[in-house]
Amino acid sequence: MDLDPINFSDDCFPSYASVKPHQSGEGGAVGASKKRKDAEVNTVELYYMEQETNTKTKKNAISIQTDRVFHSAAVGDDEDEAYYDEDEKLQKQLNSGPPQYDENALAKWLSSIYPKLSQLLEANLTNKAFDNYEVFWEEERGEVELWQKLTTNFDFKEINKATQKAINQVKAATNEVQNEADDDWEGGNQGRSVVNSTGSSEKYQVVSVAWSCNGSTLAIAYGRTNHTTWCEHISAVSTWGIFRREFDAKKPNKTIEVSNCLTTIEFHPSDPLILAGGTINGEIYLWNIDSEESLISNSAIDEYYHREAITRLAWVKYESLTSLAVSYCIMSVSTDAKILVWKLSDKLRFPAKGHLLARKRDGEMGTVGGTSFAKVGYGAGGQEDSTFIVGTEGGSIFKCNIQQPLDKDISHFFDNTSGVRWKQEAINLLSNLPNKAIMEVKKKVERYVLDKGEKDVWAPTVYHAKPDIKMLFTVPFNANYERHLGPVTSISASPFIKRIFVTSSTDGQLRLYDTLSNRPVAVYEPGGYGSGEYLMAVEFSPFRPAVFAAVGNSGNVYIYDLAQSKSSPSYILRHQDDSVSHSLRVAQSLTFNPRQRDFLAVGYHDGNARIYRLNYQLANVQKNELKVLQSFLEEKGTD
Amino acid sequence: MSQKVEETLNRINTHKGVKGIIIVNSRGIAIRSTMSQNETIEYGSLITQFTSKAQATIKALHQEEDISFIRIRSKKHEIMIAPEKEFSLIVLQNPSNDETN
Repeated sequence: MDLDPINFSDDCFPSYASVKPHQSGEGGAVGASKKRKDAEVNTVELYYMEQETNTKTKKNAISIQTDRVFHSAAVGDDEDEAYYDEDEKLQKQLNSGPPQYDENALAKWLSSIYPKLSQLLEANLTNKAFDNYEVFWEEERGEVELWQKLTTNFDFKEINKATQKAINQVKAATNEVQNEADDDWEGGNQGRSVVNSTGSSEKYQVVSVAWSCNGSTLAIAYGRTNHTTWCEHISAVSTWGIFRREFDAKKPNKTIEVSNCLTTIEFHPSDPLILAGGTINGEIYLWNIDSEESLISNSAIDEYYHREAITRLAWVKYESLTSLAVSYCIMSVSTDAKILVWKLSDKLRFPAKGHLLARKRDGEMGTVGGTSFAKVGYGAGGQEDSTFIVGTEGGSIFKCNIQQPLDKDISHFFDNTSGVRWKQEAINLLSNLPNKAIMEVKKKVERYVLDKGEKDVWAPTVYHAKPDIKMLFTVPFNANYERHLGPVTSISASPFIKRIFVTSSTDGQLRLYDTLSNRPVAVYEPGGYGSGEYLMAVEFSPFRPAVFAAVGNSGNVYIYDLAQSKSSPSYILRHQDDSVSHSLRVAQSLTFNPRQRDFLAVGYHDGNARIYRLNYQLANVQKNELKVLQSFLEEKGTD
Repeated sequence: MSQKVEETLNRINTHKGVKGIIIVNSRGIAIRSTMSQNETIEYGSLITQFTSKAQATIKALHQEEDISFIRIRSKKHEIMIAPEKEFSLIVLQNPSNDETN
């Protein structure tokens, strides 16, 4: 007989609905008997099954399984009264109608099938095969939800009163005072004080957010971003222990005052208490957020240090090849076109080495301000080395080679020191220079020291001697990538494939690059094509290779999941607070929690930082997603 | 003989995690059950349909083939179906509560 699965399944057995009338009185009996007729026609073919064949396979199955589960197969036969009472009732109803069956056949069959069933029932209990197995029948797109909104209780208005007064006087003198209220202090030194005369003015903007390495502390740096001149604000950085019992979103555990506006902060990569911050005037601060006297040290402002806004700080770990010692350096990049490397052991007294972001253009050396920075891997394997990517104000993206500060032995240069005592730290400083430059710088420094009538040369003395900056700080560029049309606001290297990095820019684009090729491997415009949205920051997820998130001046957070979509953001988290004017909705910074898989912190210009909880999918590695990221490299290879 | 049926059912029922046992005849009508009436009807009819569809599939693929046993693993349960010419035995088990084992 030809078995047509469709007809077969629909007609041959009573459906749920058609069984129902059967058990409720006579009306159903008709239906049931009709059904029975249908059924009989088919059953012959259907249920044709040879007992022998059947049992054979059963036996096989049993023999496979026996050695695994054998214990407690025979359990005592306690009668469950309730079950059988109900059973009998049911039977009365069910058996009142047509179903007639051969009790003996049933008993025989049951006892033949029981051994196998018993094995299975036992096996199921101990079977771990499905324990971690989950089928995703449909995309489980749980929501990404707002978890906390953090606001500092630091009173910027109060602390800045003195400055405000001074500014008001200046304004009065220049007849610029308009009708703004007293609380509009911050508009003052920009000369466009009518803007922002609402109540939000006492709040600072969140300019940077950072998680401690253990993921339990969130630091939020406050500052203002619309300076046109020297910053005279007093700003602050607040920290929250988000897992503490006394956690209060409106009350930070600690607030550290800073004498000018912060631009960026970064936690130490292995010590959760050490926080570094850079300011708009060019200072670097180092804090211990747990101690009463939090400031550990800070750098000075100098021609050879930073004297403009620090745009990015990065902690870089160096493992010494000779000893097991691990040393940490802070690398700072600034709009004054310098990348400086500060050794932690020097307490920020002087940079251990530096680089100048300069290029020859029309025969002249032109410098360009650095705005972003990331360590990447280079070479086919993408192994970590001393390769960094620097983004600039002009939109260019450069690959740099920045070696770690060396302590190589150059004592032979110092045999003849003409009456000057070189300290070891100063010698170490020079050891990073090419041999030709060492002599020049040395000569210059010695002349300076002798002129001043001193004898000792410390590391800062070298800088005070003002040697040629191009001699002291080398140019690190060795390749460049296709440029953005606006300043590169941030760069993030993939933690999984070190060759891949993503950049964000105010031209509204996110670009994915492979360090080995000049052109981007992918370009995204999260705000829509030509929307001109300023993208302020981008970061790769530390847990999911194919996920990165970006924020823009619309206040949206765009989360890309390349495993889901290679062209558009999978999630857009909108700024939902309608009471906040559009100009303050700007999201400036974001960072994934390095430990807590589902936490994403975003800092906004409305003075709040928000912590979002990512859904399961975004927080946990998906099957084969590393391949998705790798495919970007492979596409390159076939070009 | 009825006693022997009861006895076997009882033995199945004492296995850990067993939530219910139903024996249906070839038309999907329950002749024995340890579950409530509604559940019995629901399981009995739906699973019989499922079994017949499975049987049809196997038959279509290989004329000589037959279903000997069906196990459905769902998130919370395992449904075991032993089909036969006249009867089908349906056992519902919750295999997850195996802490003691």
